Parts: sequence; structure tokens; C-alpha cells
Amino acid sequence: MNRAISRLTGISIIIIVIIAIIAALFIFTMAPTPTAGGTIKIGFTTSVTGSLSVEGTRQLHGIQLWQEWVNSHGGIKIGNKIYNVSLLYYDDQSSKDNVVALYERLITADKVDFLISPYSSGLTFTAAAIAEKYHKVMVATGAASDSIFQQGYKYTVQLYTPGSLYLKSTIDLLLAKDPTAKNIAIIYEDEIFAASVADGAKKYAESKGLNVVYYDKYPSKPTDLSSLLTVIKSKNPDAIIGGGHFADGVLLIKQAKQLNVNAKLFSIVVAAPEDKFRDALGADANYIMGPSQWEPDVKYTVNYGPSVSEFINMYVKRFNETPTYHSAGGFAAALVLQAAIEKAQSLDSDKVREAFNSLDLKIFFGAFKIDPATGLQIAHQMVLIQWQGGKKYTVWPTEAASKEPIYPKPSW
Amino acid sequence: MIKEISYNLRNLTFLSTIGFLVISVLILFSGSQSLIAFFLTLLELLILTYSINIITGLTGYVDFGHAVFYGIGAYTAAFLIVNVGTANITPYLFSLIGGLAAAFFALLIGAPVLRLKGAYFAIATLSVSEAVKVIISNISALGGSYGIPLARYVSYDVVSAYLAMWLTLLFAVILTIWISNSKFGYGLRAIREDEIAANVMGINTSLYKLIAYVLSALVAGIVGGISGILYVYVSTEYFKVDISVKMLVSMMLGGQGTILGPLIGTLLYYVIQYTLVTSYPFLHLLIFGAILIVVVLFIPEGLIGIIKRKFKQLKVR
Repeated sequence: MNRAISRLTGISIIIIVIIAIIAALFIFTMAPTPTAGGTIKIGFTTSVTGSLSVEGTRQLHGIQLWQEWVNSHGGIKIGNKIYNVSLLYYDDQSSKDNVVALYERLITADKVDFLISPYSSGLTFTAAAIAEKYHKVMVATGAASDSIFQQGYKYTVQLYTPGSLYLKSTIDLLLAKDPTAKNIAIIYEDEIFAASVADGAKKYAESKGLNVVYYDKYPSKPTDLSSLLTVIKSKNPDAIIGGGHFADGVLLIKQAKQLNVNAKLFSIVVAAPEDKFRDALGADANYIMGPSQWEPDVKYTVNYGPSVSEFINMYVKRFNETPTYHSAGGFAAALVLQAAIEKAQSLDSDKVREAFNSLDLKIFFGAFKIDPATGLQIAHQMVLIQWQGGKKYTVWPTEAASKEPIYPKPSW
Repeated sequence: MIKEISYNLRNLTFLSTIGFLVISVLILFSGSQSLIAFFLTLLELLILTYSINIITGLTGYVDFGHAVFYGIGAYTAAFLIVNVGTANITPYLFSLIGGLAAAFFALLIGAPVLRLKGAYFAIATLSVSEAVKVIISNISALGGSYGIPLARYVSYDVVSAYLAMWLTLLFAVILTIWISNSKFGYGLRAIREDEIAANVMGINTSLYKLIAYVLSALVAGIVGGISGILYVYVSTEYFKVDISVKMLVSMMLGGQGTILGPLIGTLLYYVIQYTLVTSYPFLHLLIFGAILIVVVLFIPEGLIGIIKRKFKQLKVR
């Protein structure tokens, strides 16, 4: 009994020591690693595994490509010194608890100089709060939600066009092509993202003197939209715009054809730019438009960074696939950060954030300019794609278009 | 002899648990934010593991939808913070109410769901969790599928969340110890071994199961509330099945139905996972999978099984 107890005490002590060693090990491994002179460290987490892994991996590829590009082009110059860029990233598994542990680590232990957001608005909500606490500049990419930028954060700046502006380019195209257009119908899925898209479209349309003759929502994941479409038909609008996600966007077009609801222009968010949209609708996809953050066939002239074709060539050569807007968003996020650092001529977070306010860039991803107070993106335009003969072309804005839009859309 | 083994194990359990509680307090004074954040998410998983241990570990009812209580706790706290406000009160008070809401929900669904056994129970709990998730994503007052951002109402603060989490851990540990040593706990274990026999022996099995279910929901709900405040954002992600699986894996790694098991299991799961994620961002799942397979093949009763065997050897020699 006594021997057993003394052995027991021994084992207990060993266990406690092991726990203590684990703890100590972490203190040790988390000790700040000294920054090598002449290196700028950029940290982020991305979703290499988990539900967002496809988009997350593409975004990572974009950022990696930028790092190779900038280092092989002489790095970033601040004063007389040349800085190379190193990336530090972890897999957040698309999970919020990893975002806290890993962003805290990136900032306080790994001592990165700047941050890039994780993929998706949900994870960026939390990451932005951490960036704010440590006054670290973070470029948000893959996060389109407006509401991140309504939280009073200063240090997070947005690359993507926010949700409320998704349909702005559609309305611009309509008015440019057809100054006599008067009436539009907005129909959207009942959830916050689509609602903010629709709300933004309604305000913009009215400010341009259009009549919003129909404005209504349908329940999330609908199976039938015929009653709403019948009402829309009776209003005879020039354009029908809106949508929500993939399945309901497809349903909307299918039933519009069945009920012979015609309009000169259809613009459907999220669903239309997907290749699966054409697979689901076949020839009915033709003439349908939809907004996208970026497309490989855009024609932008750039005043900073690589041109569109240079980017695509580099990307295809390196990863053997055509870049999507997630890949382009990764590269572009790092590129605008580079521009801000060069403008600030400093690695100081506040100075770089200040420099962002006066940036007015035209890069291969499109325009970049933020609202100084909130960091919200105000210049980047969604390009508008249109399906023509089973192929997807960018048709708007004109400076990015690879084909002329077909307007008005022929009747079904 | 058996008495001595359990006596020894009890000592070991007591020392390690106290040791861990002390170490996790000392972490606060280390001054390293990343260490605190690391331990904070560790504590979060640890409490959740203690919580699922009460229902699944003790009664053998595998709860695949345990995340539903975590989610309800988070949504309740977030909803109250937005609509009631946090003037003069700590927002963590709302996480307590979140726990109560989760417990109430467990009380409602417990009676029908706990009639099912084995795989049917697992599937039913999973469905309940998914159903609640879909319902919440359709309620606009709860932010629909875009969730509730809280950054305007509470500020992101690791240290205060850590304190709240630690107190909840203390509660979960005391609760687990109390249950394990009470008549109630023996009743639950009897249900795990043979529910019909337990019933015949005079245990009100439905009531026992329901109480265990409600208590485990209470703990998970409080954690959900604290997490909502910590991450300053609540969304339907909180109902993800991954969260339930994480709890189950940590519990089984350590050894289910014990006091020490969840602690050892979670420490092992979390430390390995974190180390792999940071060192091998692309390969970590592969390596982790291999480790899990080895554990399941060679020590299916969890690490606590090895410790128990060690004690037996000590006495036999």
C-alpha cells in the first residue's frame, strides 16, 4: 500500500511535470523570433482544409505568386533600403477558434508586420477585431460583407466590392445602353447578403431616376417563384435584377422562361458567373448577365503592378490552372498592401493605414480606393458578365469588356 | 485490490486536475497574449469535452448534435447583448442565460430524443442540430444566415474571456466530480452498462438521462455564450457537426466517462492539432488521421486505459 502510494505520487508528479513541460514548450516556441533585417513579414490564415478550402487555396496561391513576383522584381523599397517579403501562414480549417489562436500568434509571437484576412466574411469578422486590438493593418480579401466595415474598425481595409454595390454596374450598363429605360424589378432571396445587395440596388436605381416597380423577396431556398414572377410580368419592367444564391438564381431563370416573363435585361447575382449556371440552363443561360469581382478576360489598363495578361501568364505557369477571382483577389490584396507600404515609406502600421487613404490605384484586379473612415471599398467595380452562345464574356464596364453586351435580350 | 486501484486513480485524477487548473491560472500572468489565446481555445474545447462527457461518457448515448447547445448559448447571449445592451453589466452574464436557454431546450427535446438508442439517438441529435441551424438562418431577428456581429456592443478581449472560461471550467470540473461520486453518477453508469437491468434495479432511467442531458447542455450553452462574445460574431457556424465531432474525439482519446479522461484527451488532441496546423499547414490532416488510427487500434479505451493498466501491473508485481 505504502509502496503503491509512493509510486502513485511519483507518477502524479511526472504527469504534472509533463503538463508543465508542454506549457513551457509553448512559451518557448512562442517566444518572439527576431525579424531578420530587410524582411517584411506578412501573416494570415487561410482555409487549406475545411468547407472553404477550394476558395481558400486559390487565394493562397494568389498571395504566394505575389511574393515570388515582388521578390524577383527587387522587393519593396523603403528609402534606400530594399526589403524582401516573407509570408507566414497557417491553416485555419475554416474554423473560428483557429482564427483567434492563430492571429494572436501571428501578431504577438511571430511579430508579423502586416495582415491579410482569412477567406470569407464570417472568419474576417473575428480577425478584424484582433487586428483592431493590436492596431495592425489588415487587407480583407474574400470578404464582401458590408457589415464588417460598419463595426467601427479602422485597421481593416477592403479589396472586394461590398455587397451593397453588387448590382451598381448592371444599372450603369442599363442606363448607358438604353437611356429610355424607366422601370426595373428587384427580386431577392430573404437573407442578409442578398437583402443588402437588393437594398443597395434599389437606392442606386432611384438615385438615377429609375422607377423600382417591383421590390420583393422570396424565402431562402425556394421551390417555386411563379407567383412573384406573374406579378413582375404584369408590371412589364425593362430589367429584372437580383437573386441570392446558385439554386434560386437558376430557378428564377427557368420559371421566367416557363411563364414567358420577358425583360430587356436579366442580371442575377452569384449564380450567373458560375460555369455551372450554363450547365444547369443550357441555351437559356444565353443573354443572362451577372456581376463578378473579376474575370480572366477583363481588359483593364493598369497604373500599378502587373497587367492582366502578365498576371494570368504567371499564374498559369506556376499553378497550371486558370486563375479565378479568388486567386486574383489574393494577389491583388498583397499588391495594394505593397503600394501602401511604398507610399508610406514606412513599416509603421498607422502610417501605412494613413497611406491607404490616399491610394487611388488601377491594378489588374480593377480600381482600388477606400473610404478613409471605415476602410470600405468604394472604387472597385463589379464586372458584368454575359452568356453569349454558351460562353461567358465580360461585357461591362467598357474598359474591362472583352465583348459588346447584347441588349436588349431577345424574348424567350 | 480494485478498491486500491480506484483509490490510486482518484488521487492521480485529483492531482492532475488541480495541477491543470493552477497552471491555467498562471498562464494569465505569463503576459504572453498568444499563449493566453492558445490556452483559451484549449479551455473552450476542454469544457465542451467535459460537457459531452456527462451525457455520452457516462450514459453511453453518443450525442452527434451536441453543438446545438453551444449554438443556442451563443445565439441567446448575442441576441440579449444586442437587444438588452451591456450597460453596467458584464456581457458574460448573458452567457449564463445562454446556458440556461440551452438547458431548457435540452429539457424540451430530451424526453422524445432520449427514448432512442444507439445509432438512432446519434442520428436524431444530429438532425435536431441541423434543424435548429436551418430555422435560425431563416429568422431575420437573428441575422439570418449572416449571423450577429457583436463588435459594436462588446470589445474583443482575450483576458476577460479567459477568466469567464476558466470559471466555467471550474464549474464543469466540480460538476463532473460531483456526478461521478454521487448515486446519480452510479445510476448513469448503470444505464451505460445495461439500461434494462438498471431500470429493473429501481433506477428511474428516463429521469436520470434527462437530468444528465440538461446538465451537459447547460455547460455547453455557457461556453457557447462566452465564445460568441470572444469571437465578437455569432453565426450558424456554431452548429457545425465538426464541433460535436471534436468533442467526441477528445473524449474518446482520453477515456470516456471518467474525470481525468477529458483533460488528457483534450490536451493531447489540441496540442497535437495545433502543432501540426502551424508546422504542416498542408499535411496536418494526414498526420493527425494516422495518429488517430494508431490510438484507436492500440488503445481503444483511451489513454486512461493505459494508466489503469499500469496501476494493475504495479499491484500484481
